[in-house]
This record gives sequence, C-alpha cells and structure tokens, in this order.
Amino acid sequence: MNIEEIKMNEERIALELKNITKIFPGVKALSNVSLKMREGEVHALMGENGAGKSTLIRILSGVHAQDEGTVSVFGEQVHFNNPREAFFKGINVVHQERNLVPTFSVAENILLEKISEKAISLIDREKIFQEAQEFMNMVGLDISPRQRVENLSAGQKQMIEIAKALSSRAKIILLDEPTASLSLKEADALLAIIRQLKKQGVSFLYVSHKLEEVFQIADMVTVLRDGQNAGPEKTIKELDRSKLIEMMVGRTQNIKKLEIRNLRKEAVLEVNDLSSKKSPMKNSFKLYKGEILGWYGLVGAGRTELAKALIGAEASIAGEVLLNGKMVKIRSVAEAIKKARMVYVTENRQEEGLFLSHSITRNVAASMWKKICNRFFMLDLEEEKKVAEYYKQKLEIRTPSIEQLVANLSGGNKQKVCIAKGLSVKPEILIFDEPTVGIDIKTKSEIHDLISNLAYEGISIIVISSDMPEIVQLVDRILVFKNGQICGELQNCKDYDPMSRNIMDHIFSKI
Amino acid sequence: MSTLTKAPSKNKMLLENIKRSSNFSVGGVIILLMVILWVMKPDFFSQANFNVIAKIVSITALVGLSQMIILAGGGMNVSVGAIGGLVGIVTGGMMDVLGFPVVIAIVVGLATGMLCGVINGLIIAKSGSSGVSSFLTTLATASVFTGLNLGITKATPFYNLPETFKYIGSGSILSIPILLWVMLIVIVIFGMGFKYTSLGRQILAVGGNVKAAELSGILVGRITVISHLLSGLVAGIAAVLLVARLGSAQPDVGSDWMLFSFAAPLIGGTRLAGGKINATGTVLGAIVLVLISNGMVHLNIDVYWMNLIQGLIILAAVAIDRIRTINAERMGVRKSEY
Repeated sequence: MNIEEIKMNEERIALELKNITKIFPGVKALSNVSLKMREGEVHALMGENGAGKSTLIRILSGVHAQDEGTVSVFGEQVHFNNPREAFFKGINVVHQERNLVPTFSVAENILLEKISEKAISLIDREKIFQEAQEFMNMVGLDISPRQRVENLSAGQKQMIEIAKALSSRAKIILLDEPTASLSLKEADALLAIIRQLKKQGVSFLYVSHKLEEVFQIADMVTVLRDGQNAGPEKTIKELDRSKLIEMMVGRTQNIKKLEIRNLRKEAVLEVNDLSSKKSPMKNSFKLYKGEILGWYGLVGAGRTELAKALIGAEASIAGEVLLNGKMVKIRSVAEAIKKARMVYVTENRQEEGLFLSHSITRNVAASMWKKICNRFFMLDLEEEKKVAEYYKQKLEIRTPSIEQLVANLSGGNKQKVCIAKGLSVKPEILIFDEPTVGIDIKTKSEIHDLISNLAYEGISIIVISSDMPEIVQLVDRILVFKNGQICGELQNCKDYDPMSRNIMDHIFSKI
Repeated sequence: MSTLTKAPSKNKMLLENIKRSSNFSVGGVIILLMVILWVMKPDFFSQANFNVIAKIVSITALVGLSQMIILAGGGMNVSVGAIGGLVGIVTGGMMDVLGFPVVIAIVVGLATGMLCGVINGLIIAKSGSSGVSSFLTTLATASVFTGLNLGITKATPFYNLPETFKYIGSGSILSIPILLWVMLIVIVIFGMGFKYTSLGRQILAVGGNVKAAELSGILVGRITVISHLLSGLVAGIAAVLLVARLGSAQPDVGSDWMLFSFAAPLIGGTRLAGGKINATGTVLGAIVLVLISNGMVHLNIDVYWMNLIQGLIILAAVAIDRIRTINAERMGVRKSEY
C-alpha cells in the first residue's frame, strides 16, 4: 500500500454505526454500539456467542431496524426497511447459511438479483454466462459457469457467494463466519481474495471465531460483549491472542457462586462411540448421578446433533448407550422416555418444542397422555389439570389461566412450559439445549435455580449452552465441543476468569 | 373453560365466547338459509322434506368427518371418495353377487375402508408424515382405489340388495331416520374421542406441530397410520349408508365427495393447517352445504352450474379459515399483554 492510498483510506469512512441500540421483547440485544469502518479495510467483529454480532449484522443487512442510533454509508445516513434496500446501498451479506439456489447454474446464482430484477424479460443465457465469468475470475473460481451449484464443494459455494456480492457492485461486504465450513486450503484462498478486493476499495466486516484468521486478515478489531462495545476499537497490532480473548470474555460481576462438586461416582449414563448421520464423529462420555454436565462449544459444534442421536430423534448408526451399566437401544423419543426416563428440552421452542395453538395444559401433558388414560382409553382430565397447575405454581409460569394458549405467552414463560412438559414424565436424565437463550435475566436466574435444584434432587442433567457465564456458573463438569467432536473435558472450578480462558484455549487450540 | 370461571365478569365473557365461536356464526347462516328456503318453498318444514335433508346431511357430515380426522393431524386425504366408492362396491357385491348376509357384507366393506386407510397411512408415514406427502400419496391411491372399483364392476352397479339392507336407508326410529342416528352416534364418538382420549390428543398434537410431537415422545408414524385407518372407516360408513339410501351400489359412489369433505369441516371451524377441530361444526358445515344445494335445486339452477358454485363454496371456506386464523393471531397479541 502506498502513502496515497493510506491517506485516501483515512479520509473515506465506508460504514459508520453510532450508538446503535436494539431491544427485543425482554432482552436488550445491543446497547449503544458504535463501529467505524474505513474504505478498503477488513474490520473484524469479535465477541462470544450472544454478544450481539448477529443482531448487528441483521441491522446492517436490513432484516431488523435499530431502535436507536444511526447507520451511515459513505457519509450518508441511511435507514433500511428491508434487505433489498440495504442491498441497493451496496451492502452485501455473505451468510453462515448459504443462500444459493442449488438447482441453478453457477452463473444464474451469481446474477440472481439481476435476473429477478425485471419480472418479465427474456434472459440471454450466453450473456449471463459471459458476465458471470467476469466475476468468477475476480474471485479465482476455476469452474464452468454452466455447472449446477448443488454438486460443488463448500469452498466453491462460498466463492460463488462472494462473486455474487461483487456482481451487485457491493462496496461493503459482511462476512459471517466465512470459513466455518471450508478446508484450510480453501480458507487460505478466500483470505487471498479478500486481500485483493481490499486493494480495489471493497471493505469487509469480518465475523469469525477463528483467531488465527483474524490476526492474518484484519486491520481493525471491534469487540462486542453483552451487547456493548468492549472497549474502543483497536488496530490488530495493538492486540495479541490473550488480550483479544480477555476483551471477548471480560469479567462478569455478581454471579451467585454455587458450590464446587465432584460427583464422579455413580455413572448413570455411559455413551460409547455414538454417531448418527447428522453427528458423524464418534463421541463417548459419561454422565454421573445428580451432576450437571455442561456441553460448551461454538454454535454449530455438533452438540444438538449428538443430543438428538442420544434421545433417538435421529437414528444412531454406531455406538452403544449404557444406562446404569446396562445396554439400552433407543430408537425413538418415546423409547427414550419410557426406557431411560431421558428427556430433551429443545433450544428451538417455537418450532419443535411447543404446540403454539394449544393450551398450556395440553402442552405440559403432551408427553404423559399415554400414562394418564384408563383402560377405556379415556384421559384423566383432572390429573392433567392437576399436573399443569402444579408446574404452573412450581415454575412460576406467569399466566392468568392454564387454559391460555401458549402462543400468547412471553419467551420466558414459553420456555417454562417446555421444561414443565419435560418434567411431567418424572425424568432421571434431563438434557437442556440452550435453556436460557433469548430469555430475560430474571427468568434466566429462575431457570438456573430450577436446574441446580433438580440436580440436588438426584436428576442427572446435561446443559448444552453457548453462554460462557452460564456454563461456568451452573455446571459441575464441562465437555468442550469442536467440529462435531468432544475435544476436552474440564472440572469446573466455578471461577470465571481461569475457567473461561481454559475453555477458550481448548476451542482455539489448533489441533 | 376455566378461563371463564377466573375472568372478572363471567357472564360477559361467556357471551363473548359464544359470539366468537364458529358454531354461533355458522348456526346463524343455517337459520338464514332455512328462512330463505321456507320463503321459496312453504312446505320446507314438512316431515318428508326433513327426512330427505336429514339423510343427505348425515352422509355429507360423515364424509366431512372422515376428512376432519386427517386435517386434525395436519394432513389431507383426497382419497376419501375413492375409498367410499370401493367400500360401496365391495358391500354391494358381497350381497348381490356372492349372497353374503347383510352384517357380514357391511363388516367386510368397512374392513376394506380401514385397509385402504392403513395403506395410505403406511405410505405417508414412510415418507415423513408431512402435509405434502399426504396429499400426493392419497391422490395416487385414490386413482388406484377407483381403478380397482371400476375394474371389478366394469362400471355396472349392483341392484339386487336385500330389503333389510335397504331399510337402513329408508327406515326411521322415533321418526328420525336411521341414517341420522348413525351419523349422530359416530360424530359423538369421534367428537368425544378427540376431546377425551389419549389418541385424539396425540393426533391433534401431530397436527399442531409434528416436530414437537416427536420430541414429546409421540410416535408420529403410528399416529398417522391410525388416523388414516379411522378416516377410511368413517368414509366406509358413509358409503354403506349412501348405498343403503340409494338402494343400489353405484360404482360412482363418492366421486363427488372430495370438495364436500373439505368444505364441511372448514366451514365448521376445523383448521386447514391442523391441530384444531370442531366435530359439531362439521355437522353444521354439512347442513350449510346441503341447504345451499337444496336451494339451488329449488331455484332451478342448471345442474351444469353446480360445479362452479361448489368451487366457490370451497374458496369461501378457505377464506373463512384464513380469517379465523388471522383473528386468532390478533387475539393472541391482545391477550399476551397479561
């Protein structure tokens, strides 16, 4: 870079966020977040899960609107009502999940926006192939533009996404975990292309959990923590690994400290080399009586998939499960409940946890209908009501009546209904998947109390969580997941600083 | 209904709830239609006319119930009519050609209906129990069942049915047609079944949210098979009653059921998306449909326009379903302010 270029970069601010605040019902996702990105800069956006990165990206790409604060693109204040408006301001997002049409050709995917711009127009296929080739050259994609996308590798698909962004003359590209599904070689190629495009004045907001990559590619770093800026932006040269981790993790105050327990005596559950289609790596672990076992990992580390293989929601293809030392075969969730008294409380309440159009009573009782009917198959409605009422009291579900439809409850109360449904079968093993995600602080601590009480009653619990403070505060032992595999086991000392560092070290270690 | 008992002003809420219920509005429509028909045809309220209408309503309501069972579980069954046709022919053929006693003919006929349902259910369960797979599967099996029907009969009806069998279609008990008794009993059994049995709840849970049902330990595949078995059974009952009423087993029994089967439950408040039913409403929906077609006959509307009008009725039913869903969502927003 020559001096002139540097000067120009300093002068032109590509993107500026000032005091962005975003409130979701019950949760303040972002609070006064500011960020400044110069033209031709790679700006890393760092932070733990739930720190607010995704929300920020959604605001920038027009999916959500901020409640307070301003967004400026090249000095012009903008407000996006939908993703299309952001797109026409030159902001383009390359998402974690792919947004390609698998049955279309490479060229059609790259120029999709252009093709769909006019509803009625003849498409000159040859011209499209030519035009697409131009962008493919820019990202170094060496395949035929006629090829169908579904047969390509993850890396090639990623490059198509970037070519697509370039085709819209995007000046600002948001990369959300761009290398998550790429091989090392593909990732290197991607970084090389970013460096090249940077010289042509394209600016990148780069979200990644891979620290090595960030140190390789980023010029500036903004760290978010609990929805706020964790200190002023830094140039990458001011930082090293441990400083960056410290900024991300921070220090959390006022955490109620639970006693440290070592319960490795009586193994309730022993899992050996379990794998399924969606969780192809073989994983083994033990769960002890009355313990809370934490499964920490980044989003997508394969924890939910392993849990689903365990409870029989996904068919396992290999491995064995021992319950109190005896082999059991679990082929469906019904069997998990019946044979192992094992219940899974999903992270995805709306989509796979609840019957939104049904009452609280019916939701709570959904797993126990088979048990509370007499020999004429008639349900004991009094019992059903009694159970629902009992859990309404016990979990403090805030509702005027147990006949209320679940759709009308707040997020925290919905989660309590989900938990009540799990508890209704009197489980001995409970798996909580992200039990407090998207839940307000008060309910969160209520759920934490509930989980530790259940453990004291002798129920063995697995807590899947991407929330570091939650893991350190709540659990007795931690399994760290990375790329679908358990990569470490730690006894929790419940001291936040050393523990969180230790966990992060496991995740960021190269092997 | 404990919402009512805990609400501040009991009577007002009760009134509100009645007003809001779909049975109330559909009942209003029925009264309106009756008044119109009475004006057009002063002997509308005669016993003879009542019997005619009651019999048609009975069969239409059962056809609607057969579909309602599947809608409850979030699916669709477009083979209701084809199953009915096959059951009618099997029952009629057993008596006419093979000379079996009435009871055995009926039992075998109904068993055929259940078998058809089980076939539907098994294929759908294997392909993931989704709404789309149920639609396509039953579309295909409908053709298979109809093909069997026409292949066996060469499209000729069975006329020689025993008088005892025909009596089912013509007789009355306490001056109420037997057909209506049968329909009421079946509706009550299924209405109660959905409310008070584990099976009914599980079907509704699958219709409300398949994934949640599975994660709650409900065996979704098994429930799909059972609900199709029941749907086939009810379609079979409707077919047997229709054959008894007509006095002959026509191969085209059921060929015009498909639209009615959706319209009756949808008008009555069963949700197209699944998870919510109204058995009484299905009967009310059937009454609306029958009164409308009865009215069209009195107005001397050409038979050829019937298709058009039936299509419009279905579209209206779908629109009503949408409006109800949207209203329910709006109400949800209001209620959540608690």
